[in-house]
Amino acid sequence: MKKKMIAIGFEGSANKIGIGVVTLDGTILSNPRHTYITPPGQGFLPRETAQHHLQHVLPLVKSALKTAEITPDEIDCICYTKGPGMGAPLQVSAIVVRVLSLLWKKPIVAVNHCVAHIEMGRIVTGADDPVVLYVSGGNTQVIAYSEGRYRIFGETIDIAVGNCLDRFARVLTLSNDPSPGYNIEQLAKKGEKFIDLPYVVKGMDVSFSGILSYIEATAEEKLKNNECTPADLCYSLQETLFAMLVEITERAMAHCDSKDVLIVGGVGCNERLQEMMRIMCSERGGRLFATDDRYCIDNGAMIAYTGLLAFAHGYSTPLEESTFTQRFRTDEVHAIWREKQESGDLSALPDGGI
Amino acid sequence: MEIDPKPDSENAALVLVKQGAEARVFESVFAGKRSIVKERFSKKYRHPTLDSKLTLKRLNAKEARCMTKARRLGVLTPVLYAVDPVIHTLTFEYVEGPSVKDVFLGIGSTGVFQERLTDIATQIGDAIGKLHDGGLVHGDLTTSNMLIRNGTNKLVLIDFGLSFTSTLPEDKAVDLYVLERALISMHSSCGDVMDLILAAYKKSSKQWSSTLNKLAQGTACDKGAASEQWLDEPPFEKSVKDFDLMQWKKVVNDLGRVEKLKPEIVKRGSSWFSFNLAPLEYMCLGLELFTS
Repeated sequence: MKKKMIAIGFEGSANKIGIGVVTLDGTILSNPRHTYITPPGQGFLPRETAQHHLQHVLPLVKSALKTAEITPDEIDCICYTKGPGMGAPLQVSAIVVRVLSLLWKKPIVAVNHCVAHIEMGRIVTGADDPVVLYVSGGNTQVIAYSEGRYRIFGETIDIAVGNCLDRFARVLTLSNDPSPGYNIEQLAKKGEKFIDLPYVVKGMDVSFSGILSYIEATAEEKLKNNECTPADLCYSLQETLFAMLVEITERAMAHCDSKDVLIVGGVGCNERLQEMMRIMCSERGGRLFATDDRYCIDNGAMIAYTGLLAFAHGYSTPLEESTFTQRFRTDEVHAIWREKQESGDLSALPDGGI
Repeated sequence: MEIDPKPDSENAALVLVKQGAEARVFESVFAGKRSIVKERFSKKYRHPTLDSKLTLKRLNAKEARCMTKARRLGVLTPVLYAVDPVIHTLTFEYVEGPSVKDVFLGIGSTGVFQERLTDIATQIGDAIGKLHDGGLVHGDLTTSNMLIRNGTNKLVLIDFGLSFTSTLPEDKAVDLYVLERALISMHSSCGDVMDLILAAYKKSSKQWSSTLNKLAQGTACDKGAASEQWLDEPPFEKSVKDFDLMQWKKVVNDLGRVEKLKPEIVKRGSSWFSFNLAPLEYMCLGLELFTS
């Protein structure tokens, strides 16, 4: 019997460096991760984040291999995040992977971060062909598969929803440990008063920057006059942002006649967002698929799994092309593995990056 | 215009046709005619305050008003039969014919002729131009909201649930932008259909230039959607130079064998250098530790 294919994946597009080892059936052998946490009131900057990644990448490789109980020889391919993300942090995993590829003599597979979130969500939850809401600190997209690619139906036209939450957490100087979004969620549970905020949905697109400016200004004034508490503000912000997200997801569902929703990305851990989405789905007779923080938050396993899917269908990235990029749209990727799943055609060849 | 619907026995038979994002759509019979009943439902997932604010903003009566305004502007819409403000329903004519979405999706499989595509695109551009010049913004221009009436092959616009009146170029440009996005995501195989639509729009709308200028601005912004400063820090050589190499060296030294590795790099040939190897990458070779 042929042994199972194994991949190692490197993720470092934002403030987390993660390395995962997985097999083709989605079994995670190891998935260690380290997060760069900044002091309250501060965000993470590219240079410091890259330094953090450099410091932790080698120990993480060692621990990933040790926990998975494998040697480099057993690995079939080395996968890494090509983009999108912050340049300097992306560079760290790209470099390490190039070096490892030469040392271990293993092929490289470059992976799109957004597609990796979707594939991880699909294998973990078993959702077959859902409308995907991908929400994180850097991305906000409503995605559905069609004709070989993950198409973006709606997205933010300015900042990501996670970025909006993170930056508001900075205004309130909430802790960034474990994440600013988590602390907003906890504080929002104590909120009682709903404060009216702008609500900006344009077709299937959303806009958050105006809401952020508005609440930043309002917060200062209202907190000074004791008109509301920080908890009320977090509560109102969450309610407004998430209602917008659920609305555009519902629009995409109506447009593509789809019943199921999958939420992925860091903000996808938020239980209030999941609850709102679940209510919307049940009103439409559909199902919600969501995952917890192990898979929602950036991790190496999702990169390894997606890379391995592509590799198993004959795709790899030559060393010369193993670059990284800050902008890499979800629909640029030709999802060859899904085409073959659906048509059973094994002769199709990839024409783009993975 | 508004008629109070007399619930008769025929009307009782409602068949759910589709559940949209804002409303449930039923097929029914109104005064002996095949009709569509659209019922707006409240969103239980939303905070009640937010929900009532949004429901007020998107009132049924407003939808009816926008629909009749569109007809006055010479754009075909279904005929409105009745408005019920109590149970939030609109009843209108059942339009026989496929949606533009289905027609366009048929392009790959059944092969829609280029003339048909051009004809539909021209009608779309023309209709939007008329709406915009009359100060009406549709608000949800997707191909699901456009029908082609059987027999006449005329375009019928439906679902004015997000429509509003505005003369701002920005609002009109957003209207076109929403359509452009819907075409890209659903109908990428149809090619330059948006160009055909815009060409017809230019002919139909007298104010096309301000709207299309705004649209071009928006598209330019869109390309740089992630252009926040923190993302734009030059990633490669420039930032590498700034890394604390001493600190990194220490990490690598802890792992050992950096010195020993250096000749091997040279041996691997000039190809290494073509990959823009930064000093940092030499240091990374300390990773060979794992091969032993």
